[in-house]
Amino acid sequence: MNKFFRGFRIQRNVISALIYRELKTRISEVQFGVIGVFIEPLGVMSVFLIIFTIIRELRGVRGILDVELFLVSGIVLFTLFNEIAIRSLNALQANEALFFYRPVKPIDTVIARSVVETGLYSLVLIVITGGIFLYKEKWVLDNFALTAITFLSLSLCALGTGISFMVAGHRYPFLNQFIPIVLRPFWFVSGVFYSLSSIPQWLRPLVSWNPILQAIELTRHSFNSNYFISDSISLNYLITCGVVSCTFGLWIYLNNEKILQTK
Amino acid sequence: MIEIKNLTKSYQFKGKSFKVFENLNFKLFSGESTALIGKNGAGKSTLLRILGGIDQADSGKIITDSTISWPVGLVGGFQGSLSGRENVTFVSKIYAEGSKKNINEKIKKVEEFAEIGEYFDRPFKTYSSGMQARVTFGLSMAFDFDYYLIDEVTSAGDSRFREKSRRKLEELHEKSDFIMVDHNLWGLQFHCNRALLMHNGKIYEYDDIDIAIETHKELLNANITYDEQDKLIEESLKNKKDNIEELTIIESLSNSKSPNNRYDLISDPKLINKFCNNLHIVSNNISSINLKDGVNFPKLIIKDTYKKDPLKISKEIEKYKNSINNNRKLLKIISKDIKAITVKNSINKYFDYSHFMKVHPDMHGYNREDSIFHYSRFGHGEYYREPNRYFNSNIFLDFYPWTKDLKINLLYLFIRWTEEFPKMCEYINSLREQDNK
Repeated sequence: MNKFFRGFRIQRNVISALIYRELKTRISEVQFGVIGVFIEPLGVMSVFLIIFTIIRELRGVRGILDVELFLVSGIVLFTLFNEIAIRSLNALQANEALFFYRPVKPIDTVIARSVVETGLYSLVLIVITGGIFLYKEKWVLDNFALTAITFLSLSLCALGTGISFMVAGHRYPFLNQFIPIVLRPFWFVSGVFYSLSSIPQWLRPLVSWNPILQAIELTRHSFNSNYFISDSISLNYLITCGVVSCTFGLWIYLNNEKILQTK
Repeated sequence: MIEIKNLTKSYQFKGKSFKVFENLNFKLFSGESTALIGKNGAGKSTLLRILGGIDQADSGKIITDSTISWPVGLVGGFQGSLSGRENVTFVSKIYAEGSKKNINEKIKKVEEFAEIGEYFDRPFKTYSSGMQARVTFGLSMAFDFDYYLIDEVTSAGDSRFREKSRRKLEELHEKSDFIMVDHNLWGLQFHCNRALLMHNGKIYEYDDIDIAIETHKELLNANITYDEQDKLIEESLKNKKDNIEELTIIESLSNSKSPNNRYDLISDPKLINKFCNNLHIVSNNISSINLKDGVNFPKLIIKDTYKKDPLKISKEIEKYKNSINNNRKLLKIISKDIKAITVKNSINKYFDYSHFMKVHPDMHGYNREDSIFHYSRFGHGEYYREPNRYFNSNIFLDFYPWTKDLKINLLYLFIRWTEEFPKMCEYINSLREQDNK
């Protein structure tokens, strides 16, 4: 039992060290220190937000939810998933030097990166929505718990996917170029700039399986409970997705750990 | 203890698989430091990496309950864009158990050891190779492991750092064991007492590092076929040298007492012979004696009884020997054939008295500029013509090769370091008087 906890303690130490290193590396790569790390995704999100807001305003689409909130939940959540998945793909190569130290295992780098991304994008989400609330002088957050759980479940999904990607990318190197290309079109099927209820009935089953779309819709619903989500969207499904993807990721990782550590 | 069972490793390159080694089986016992010897590409570093957990073998097991360090001396585990401090913090967070205080302590330790000043806060990639060596070495030494994997450490950095790192290694050696790879063979001899020779994907165990090194050199030099190489190794494995032992004397020489008496002893070979005949039994019985200035070190005290009976001296020595037998830095003094003498003076420089020796392993490579070997090989006159900054003539006198009999030299050294040296001189003088009569 003692040994069991010791393993966890070591992993916790390793992950905290990796997070420290990840943040320090990013800080050293950008200007303005800690804020610089935060500004980049914030800037990208803001630009997206402005462009799509303008487009939607021009088209004259009006929903129950504010346009900005509608878009920000889509963009931030999708980017979160995308970043974790793609960064996990590179995690092995980027951290190769660190496997020099015996306690550092490949999975730790993915977990550390996921934690960093989750933290970063949750901050981005908080700042942007906070900004929107201040600008509109209106507080619209009906169900904070739902927002948080959705966010965490999605990053759990992304973590599982990231682990699988890391293993796949190591075994079949061509996937390192292929996966980012495949992830692009997901932008269009994840409901970043449309809601599930706004697309034709026959299309819905084709996209509603997507946990990213589920998470985005749930977040919108959590902002304003009047925002209608169809029956096919459920938090249970999203959490199940997260658990399943993590289980699958861990299973595939366990079977391949030795290969990942071999040079 | 580390036990290795059926270890096999191969590399894939362009679809072809290259075997580095196959079915390695060996054990490394605690309390023994092992040198890995072999030519370039024999798989030494690969084995070290596998032991360190950086790389995985194709098959086979490594069974151990000891903690093993990462390979010390490689710069691999550092990230260029981060500063030395950040890199050290990262590793400390992994290895230092518990509190922040503990981590900060480690960082401070490394910073003090590295002595690179403000560079410690600059990106690691801007460091010179010497600075990199300082930080990586300092970092490895800050944590306690049962086994240290050491890869080419003794040849990095400037002489000050090499000196410091060697001292640090010695310090570590008291509680930890080394597994070393180094092309500096003299360094290996200094730190290790056992050797594994890697050749053509196989591993051969040698209990005597000297034989392993000799065989290694022969393998390097000769243009011989594989069969002949195998034969060479086989023969060397049978060959057990029981005659040749290595002597290492570590002592502060600067505080030499009563130079006049010493000179008397030195200047009269006849006297020395007589003296040594009396002490013959002693010299034959000394197998290991530790002589070093230091608080924790026991000192050999020879009582007045020696005047009557040399046998009693040998008993004293035996007692002394037992009392220090557990110490790691044993000096092996064997009266028969002595291979090397190393003496350390007050500023911890190693002097090689290799001009006593018929055969000597390559001391050339070892810290050449610090060693008086460079000078001593020209004979005694050269010392004065080329004063060495580390070397003073007073010390030199001690080791002037006034006789080719090494036994006498050793005894002289040995006696001088005992507290009873003046009495010994008295005894010698009395012998002389008897002679005159």
